[in-house]
Amino acid sequence: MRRSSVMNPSVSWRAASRGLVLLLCGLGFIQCVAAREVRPEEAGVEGDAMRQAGVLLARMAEAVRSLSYEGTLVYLHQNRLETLSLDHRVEQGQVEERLISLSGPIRAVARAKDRVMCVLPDGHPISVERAGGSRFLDTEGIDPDALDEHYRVEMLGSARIAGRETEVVGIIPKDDLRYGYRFHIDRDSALPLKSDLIDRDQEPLEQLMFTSISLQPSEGPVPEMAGPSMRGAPATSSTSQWRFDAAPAGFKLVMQHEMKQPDGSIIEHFLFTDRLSSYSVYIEPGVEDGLDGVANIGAVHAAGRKLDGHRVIAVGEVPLETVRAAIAGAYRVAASDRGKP
Amino acid sequence: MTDEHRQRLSDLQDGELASAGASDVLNAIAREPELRETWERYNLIGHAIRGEAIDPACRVVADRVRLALVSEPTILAPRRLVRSRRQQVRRLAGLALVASVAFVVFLAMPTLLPDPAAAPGPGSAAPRLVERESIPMRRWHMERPELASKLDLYLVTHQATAPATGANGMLPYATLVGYESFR
Repeated sequence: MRRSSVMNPSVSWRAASRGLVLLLCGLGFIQCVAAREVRPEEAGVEGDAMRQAGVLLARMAEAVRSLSYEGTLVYLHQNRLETLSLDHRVEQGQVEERLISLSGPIRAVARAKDRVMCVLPDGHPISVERAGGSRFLDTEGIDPDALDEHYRVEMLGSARIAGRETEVVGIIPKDDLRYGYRFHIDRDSALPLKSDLIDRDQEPLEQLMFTSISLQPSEGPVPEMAGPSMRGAPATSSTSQWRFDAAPAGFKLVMQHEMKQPDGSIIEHFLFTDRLSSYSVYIEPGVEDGLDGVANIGAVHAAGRKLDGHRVIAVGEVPLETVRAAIAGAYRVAASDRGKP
Repeated sequence: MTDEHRQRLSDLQDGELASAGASDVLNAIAREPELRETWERYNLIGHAIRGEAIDPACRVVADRVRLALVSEPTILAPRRLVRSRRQQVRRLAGLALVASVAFVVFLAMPTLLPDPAAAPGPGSAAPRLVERESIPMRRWHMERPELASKLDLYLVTHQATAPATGANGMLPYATLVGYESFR
């Protein structure tokens, strides 16, 4: 005769013990899930963290604008490490900045009030200026609330950089169309001692870190806070013969201007931004010797294509997909439609 | 043993032999002492090439293991005994122990598991310099210097027009200055 489990004490005990363990594990799971619910006090903590991050970012922007400092940085990209020297001076209300490579051929970038100059090996020296441009080279703080749609702003703890204590603030992108930043902000001076360019998984793409820094007294008055920068400018619509459909999510056209070339030709320049990341679209006449396809220099991507006897090129510190989408949506309108948005 | 055997042994050692072929080679190794010796030599060569330590005592391992297995006494599984009352008490104690552990886990789980919503404590973000390889490392199109210069100009114009807020300061320019060897 077949024995039932009721008649077999060892089987019933085994079943009971398994049942008990399962029941308790289930209760534990429910308790964990309940613990994950955002309680009101946690929401308050999150709000405090946002406010703290906002204050730190504002202090950082002010420090970069008003302090004089110099130091040595390491720049890590992929598997390469470069050493750079940075000299940032505030004199008589003007900011001057110089970044020089200390390894390999001499490469340097210098910024002054209305000009950026670059010396790069094997290339023509580059000098970019914008006469009368009151908003040129402006800097401004980051408003975490304005970035809410496409970024998360978080406090990420603290760390020690160049022998100084820093607070870590992350501006983390919510999608793959833009990069974010992770700043290690000096508690005393509020300078960013380490800046990481990160993707949505917070994986660093490029990292720039001070290994030594010395603060110096600024001479003369602190530079005046100028008006809103290009990144803070309101969205506009193109008034030229070029239009842009289906720009990558969150990016708005905020500026357009014409660049006159030495040969008399005109390159049209359109700037798009999501208030933190940005890219530029350049449209040049003629289709020879231009970029057809994609190119990159580290995390900076470019994409180009021919369009109606012109070449459209997008450049920016944004992912490849973003510059691709940027040029894909460009088109030309008839002369009679140019005034229309 | 033919050259083909040697080749297949070498492939197996390098992990390049398809799984279907591997079983044939392993069966052949089990059958033929000569193949086992070759396999051992290939292992030694691999150790030497990789600069790993070589232990002379490890020679003829396969045959020594085979001999050891032959000389081992056979272990016979004892017949399951009928449960005594003492064993029933032990099972009850075991059940009580399991219940206690489960209860402790139930109470302690929220504490032990990290809460993703909670802000990390001070010192949790140690500075890391992390290597990453996802973006191809190059500087524009170096085979076309005129195009590279034009893209440099466009990038500098872009950065100058839309300076990264006080936020990243010179970081965008570090891209320009930092890439030297591919220009």
